[in-house]
Amino acid sequence: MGSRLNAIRQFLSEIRRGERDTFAAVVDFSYQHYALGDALTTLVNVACLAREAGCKAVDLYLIADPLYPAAPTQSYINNENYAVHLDRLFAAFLCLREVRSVRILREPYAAGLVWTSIVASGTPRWPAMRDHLRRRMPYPMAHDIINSFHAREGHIPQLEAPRGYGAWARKFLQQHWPDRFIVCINPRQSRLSSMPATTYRDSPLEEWHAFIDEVGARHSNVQFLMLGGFHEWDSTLSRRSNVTIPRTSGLSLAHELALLRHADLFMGASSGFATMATFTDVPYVITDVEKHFAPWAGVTPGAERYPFGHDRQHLVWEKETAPLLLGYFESIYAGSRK
Amino acid sequence: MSSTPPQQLFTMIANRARGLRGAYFRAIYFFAAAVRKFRERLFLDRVNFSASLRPPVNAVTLRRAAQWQQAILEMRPMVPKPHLNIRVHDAEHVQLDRLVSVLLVSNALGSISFFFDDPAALAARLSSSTLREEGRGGTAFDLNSEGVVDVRAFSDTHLSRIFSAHTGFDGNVNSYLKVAHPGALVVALSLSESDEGLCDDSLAAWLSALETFESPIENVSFVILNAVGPDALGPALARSAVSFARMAGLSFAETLRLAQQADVFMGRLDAFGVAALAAQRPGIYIGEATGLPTSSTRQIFATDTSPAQACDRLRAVLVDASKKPRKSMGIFPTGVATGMSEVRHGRDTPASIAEKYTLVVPTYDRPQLLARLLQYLERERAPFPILVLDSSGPDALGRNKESITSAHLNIRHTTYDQSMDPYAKIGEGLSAVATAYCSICADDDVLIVPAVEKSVTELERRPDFGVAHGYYFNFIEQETFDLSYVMYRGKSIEDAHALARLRTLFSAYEAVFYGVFRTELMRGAFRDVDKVNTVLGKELLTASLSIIAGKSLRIPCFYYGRNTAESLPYSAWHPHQILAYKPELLFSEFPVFRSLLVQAVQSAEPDLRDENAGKTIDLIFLRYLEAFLRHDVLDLMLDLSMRGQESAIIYTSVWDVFVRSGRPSRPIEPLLDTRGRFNPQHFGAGRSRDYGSTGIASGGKERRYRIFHEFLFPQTQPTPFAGPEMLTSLLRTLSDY
Repeated sequence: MGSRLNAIRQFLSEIRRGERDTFAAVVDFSYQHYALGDALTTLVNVACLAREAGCKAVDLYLIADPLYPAAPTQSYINNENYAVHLDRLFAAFLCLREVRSVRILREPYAAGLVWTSIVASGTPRWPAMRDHLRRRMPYPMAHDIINSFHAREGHIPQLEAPRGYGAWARKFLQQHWPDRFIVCINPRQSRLSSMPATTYRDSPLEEWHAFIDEVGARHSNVQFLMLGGFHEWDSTLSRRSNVTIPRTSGLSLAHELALLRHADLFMGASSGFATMATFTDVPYVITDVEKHFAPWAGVTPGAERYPFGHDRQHLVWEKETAPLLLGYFESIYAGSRK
Repeated sequence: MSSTPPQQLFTMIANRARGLRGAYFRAIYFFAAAVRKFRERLFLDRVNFSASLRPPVNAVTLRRAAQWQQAILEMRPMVPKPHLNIRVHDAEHVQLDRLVSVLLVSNALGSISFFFDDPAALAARLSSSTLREEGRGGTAFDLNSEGVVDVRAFSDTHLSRIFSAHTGFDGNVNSYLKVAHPGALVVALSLSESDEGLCDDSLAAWLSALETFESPIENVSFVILNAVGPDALGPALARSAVSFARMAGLSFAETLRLAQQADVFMGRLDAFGVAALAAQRPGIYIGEATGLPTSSTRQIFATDTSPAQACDRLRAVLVDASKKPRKSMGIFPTGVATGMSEVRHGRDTPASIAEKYTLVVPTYDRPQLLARLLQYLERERAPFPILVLDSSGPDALGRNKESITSAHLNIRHTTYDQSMDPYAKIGEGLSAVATAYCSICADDDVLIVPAVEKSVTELERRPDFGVAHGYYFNFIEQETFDLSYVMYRGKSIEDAHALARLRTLFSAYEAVFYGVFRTELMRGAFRDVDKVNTVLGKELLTASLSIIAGKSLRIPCFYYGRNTAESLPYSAWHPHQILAYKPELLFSEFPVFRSLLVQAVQSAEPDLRDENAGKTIDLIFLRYLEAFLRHDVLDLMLDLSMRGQESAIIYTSVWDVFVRSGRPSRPIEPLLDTRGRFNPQHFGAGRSRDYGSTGIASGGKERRYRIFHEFLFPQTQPTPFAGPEMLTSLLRTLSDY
């Protein structure tokens, strides 16, 4: 009996002993999404909350319970394939400098102990206990926390190249395209995927092709890097000498995010890569932003930029055309040459 | 621990609440899961495994990640899916994505944690280590070190979990093979890579070799698994001798599976190479490796070879591969993954070891020792059937029954008359063995379960071997748990002919009695054991008949611990005992013994008529006896005999003078120094030291181990016999005993 009491005392003592100067961020895929944009927004939310709580470091817990591997809205992700989706997304969670540990918890009991000890020790955390208990995460993810932080501090925490890839990206760009103006692009092409969805939001490829060809004709020192999943690029894109598709070289999301972070410009539809650009100081043109997203972002429809965006970061609330893309490009390109 | 009522209760509550909607149920789940996990922290061991990682994460590191998993599974974790803790040093330069891919392809792992600084690792200990693991400390697996591939280990069935077909990465690979290489025999290539994973530097030479390659069969396709930089990709595509899997959109994880699904592999023994090896793919494997199989046209291993040479040798492999039907890709059921009960009964092999092997435990009036052995085997989750041959008296028999009933093991208990000869008991007991392989373990000894599994795997692969076993060490438990000597560590006996094997065995005799045998072979060895009378004669007869019937394989790992505490007295078990009591026994027994061996040799090699067989056998055993006929020993015996001393005194005196002569006491150094370095390496053979290590024994008590100098440096060999990983793995296993 005595030893059992001791065990209970030890349990209570240990779970209360958490660190309060480190922030705990829990991404539980049983109700949160395997999605690049959501993962990156989560990181920035967490960074804002951590700084507000006076925490210098973040412990990141990715909970992938094999029995409940995905949110009901991502029902195509199951026990047999969740590792593929986790593998594709993992690099995104390395984009926050404050992260001092990343733990992929695939055992539900460990996840229980982690959460219980976070709560019992009063460790500053995200999400809130009520939300986590109710498995509630509203999508799209709002910018409330980020905008509030910006209003107070005048800046926001920035995303970095995934840890371990920053130096690589600089070296890679220097090795292959020294002195080139690097433009990362990501025209949305859901129709080309194995599971098309909301294809009305897809980018008009012919407009993009015309834009790329026109830039090629005008500026020989501009190199486009087409980012995104393998299915997303149109097969004719690879024939253009001013376009490189990193995925064809076997590079992964980690490399792409790092290249974007060190690019001169990002242009693309509102997507995961656009989210990466949003939370960096890389100049960007994000096209076809949906009006219904405006309240979530804390802006009015048609706003030129997010509250925390700088003057070379543009939101475009309409479908892109070649002249529109060219106009934004020329303006930013010219600005970069000054 | 998993079967204790509190653990079952908390597991049940957590699992039920986990599936129910509502915040309250979720709160209950969290609490019950937390308590359950915390109890694991209090009571379990070998749940969490640590490694250190530094830049670069290159091909070697990724291969090491697979080797690490192999090592973990061999340690027999106490949970179905062990958890990994990786301390990342110089994190700003460590590229994790490919390492994560290797780990996510595995179906053998639970949680995977990366810690970028020490405080993070320390803060996570509540859910990332158990008390026993913390108490033991120990060194983390170095993912960056250059480990040589042991080919035997990578032909093991663990690999079906490490490169699993059940993690979702196969769909795209299958589509790719069908679309890009319809109907072709596909050769997957892995080339040397830069630290960043690009094969640009080695690509040109391979493309040249492949362009001039003339295939001996039609419709062969080559696919490169590695990533290729943009500058190298363009020219490579123009030459189009091969295709590029990554260019077709396969991820790194998917190319690991492609290495397994392609028909043939050619290239480096990197992560792709070991994946192909695990799937038993034919091919050319380039890189340093040990444990190589005998020469074959199916798998060719080369430390280094040029692309042109590799292509040259590929022809024979292709011809061989085209003749044989394509083997399945190591897709086995996921049994182990799903629960503790399945772990107890088997691994994810098509025919598990439980169906292939039986452990035979003869026992006589030592209920405590038998109980201890069975508890140890239970903790080690021995998956095979155990046959206890019990000739104990009534009291001990009752206690043995209790031990057997309470053990969660598959045990058959057969009883014999107390007066029955131990060899006759085993000979009779073997008739109850229903598996193809078996071995014997004395009730006071320790059997290393993973080594048994390896031995069975090897015997399955090598039909010309009759027995397989590893290293035998002596131990004794006193104030400290002493590992005193590695008694048997000789090479495999692989001579082609029976008499040559017999000669090799007895030129430096090491018993094979406790090895894993083909059951039929062991039955044959025991068939005529009653025709000789002395214990020594019976031992030498069974050993001789075994080696006449087949080769003997020594696996480079600890296999069996022999307890050197005083044992039951046997008569006529050692040449000195016979010499002290009744030397004429050697002469009277030998003719029978000799005729049995001659018959066995003729029966093993009927086509090889050797007129000198009997004479050769005489000479072999005279040479064997020579080691015991030392002048000083015989002079002492003569002196005592001529003084009229009793045989028992003569024998004891010889034993005291020549065997129990004592050993000098030596200073004890910690096995690992404060920085985790292996002290025996540091001190070397020249400075005689014993080494100490502390662990937690199965009862939760601290146990101090003392590893003798002679154990580490037998016959003053210059480097330690066992390295840190091998030795700490042994100590971890012994903590269950």
